[in-house]
Amino acid sequence: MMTSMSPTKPASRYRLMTEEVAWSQLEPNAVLIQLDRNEVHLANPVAAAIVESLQSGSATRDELLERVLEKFEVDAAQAAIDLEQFLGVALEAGIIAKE
Amino acid sequence: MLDLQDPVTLALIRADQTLTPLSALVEITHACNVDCEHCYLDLVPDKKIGALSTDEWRRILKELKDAGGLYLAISGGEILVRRDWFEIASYARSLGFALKLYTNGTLIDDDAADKMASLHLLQAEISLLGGLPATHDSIARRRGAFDKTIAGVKRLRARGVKVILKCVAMEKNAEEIGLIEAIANELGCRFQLYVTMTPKNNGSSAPRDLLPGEDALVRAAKRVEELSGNAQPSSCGTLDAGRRGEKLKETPCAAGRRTCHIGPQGDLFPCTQWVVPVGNLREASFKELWLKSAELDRIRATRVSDFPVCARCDLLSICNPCMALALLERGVPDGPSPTRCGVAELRAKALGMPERSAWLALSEEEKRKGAVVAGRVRLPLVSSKLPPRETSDTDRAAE
Repeated sequence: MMTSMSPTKPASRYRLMTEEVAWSQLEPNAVLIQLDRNEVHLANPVAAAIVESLQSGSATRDELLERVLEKFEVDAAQAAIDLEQFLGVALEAGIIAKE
Repeated sequence: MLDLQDPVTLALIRADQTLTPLSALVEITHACNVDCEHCYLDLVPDKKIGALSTDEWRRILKELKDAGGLYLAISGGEILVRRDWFEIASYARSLGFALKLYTNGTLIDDDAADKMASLHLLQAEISLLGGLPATHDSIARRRGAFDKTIAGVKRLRARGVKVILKCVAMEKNAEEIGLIEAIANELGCRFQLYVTMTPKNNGSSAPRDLLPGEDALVRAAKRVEELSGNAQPSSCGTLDAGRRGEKLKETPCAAGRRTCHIGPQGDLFPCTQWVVPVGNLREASFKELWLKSAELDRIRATRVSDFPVCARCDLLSICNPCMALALLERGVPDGPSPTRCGVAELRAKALGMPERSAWLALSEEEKRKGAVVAGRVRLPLVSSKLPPRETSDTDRAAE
């Protein structure tokens, strides 16, 4: 008899809201503008690296965390907290969307 | 004072420190379907001047983006006379630029309005030169221009596009400024008023003759001050206007530091007012010109304290000396410019300050020592914006 297993839920992907957001890398930061609200955000270096990653396409939380850890010598737990914080703020600001 | 919590200010400081061209204005054409009396350009068809192609604009915009560009104003002439205006604008948007479009509004039909709305513009900026159709049409020198402009604005507003209606105070419209502002409010637009009448790029000071009398000009300047509370940070001003001692140590403006201008033939300028290009983007990449231009290095090294007259001027606290206007009006960029000095005096009157501009207080003889050729341009370099001219009687007299 076969037992049914609940399928693993695919991880959410995050994408930059390119139609409504303008951006520029201003090393080591990034500037982001939510155009419809005309809100300007200056991203810190970690957030800038996340934005840079998202410019080339959507990514999961784990993929983004991996890229942050590749780029910065930071404690993984701290990086996860920073990433979580950024995703929350960016979602709220309409800069990124969850797919 | 600088607000170091404000992300815009922080971005401007960072761009200034890293010489990032955060803000650029590109004139994609010098052709126009109206003929405004005060326009600083000599309007010419694109074919006649060999304007950049769509592909050339795409390459240049990509290079500008790679250099850190963020704010992009697309201007003309009239941008909508170029059939590929949307291709250029949508490509810029896809690169991540925040767009402003400058247009006279007369060619904005439903299709153009739909396209503009799809770009999520920061704003469309449209000139409304009179509160009455006859006044606007007289300044634009096209019958029916007012009605077409208003119709274009309404189409944009119906699609939620943010619109700024702009007006420069002139003799013809001075009594209608309140009416123009009321129209802007009724249409849900922001209103922006100017009292600066810049000379034409060919050096002619004729537009100044269009200004209203002093009483009307001071009234307009007061309204400019009242409205400036809502203004966005200037892309060409200094970052910390106000404190004299610090201002002397600053660069006069952002020209060639965090702002630049590209003309329809690919000439790169430090700012829109500058008439001498630092190079041409058909012949060199943006990065090459931006990083290697000796002229840009010289501009970037200039400080307000290098301008003897401006440095001792009582109005320095309310004025940003303009190297470009000084170059255009006096042939040398080391401030002051009569136009900018006149505006500083107007501001002073609007703010109730008794002080005068140090330059305007000089005698004609003293001004002449500064190599002044009133209303004419003497440029140290050849400018592609300026047509070749023969030596005039005025020049010979000055020599």
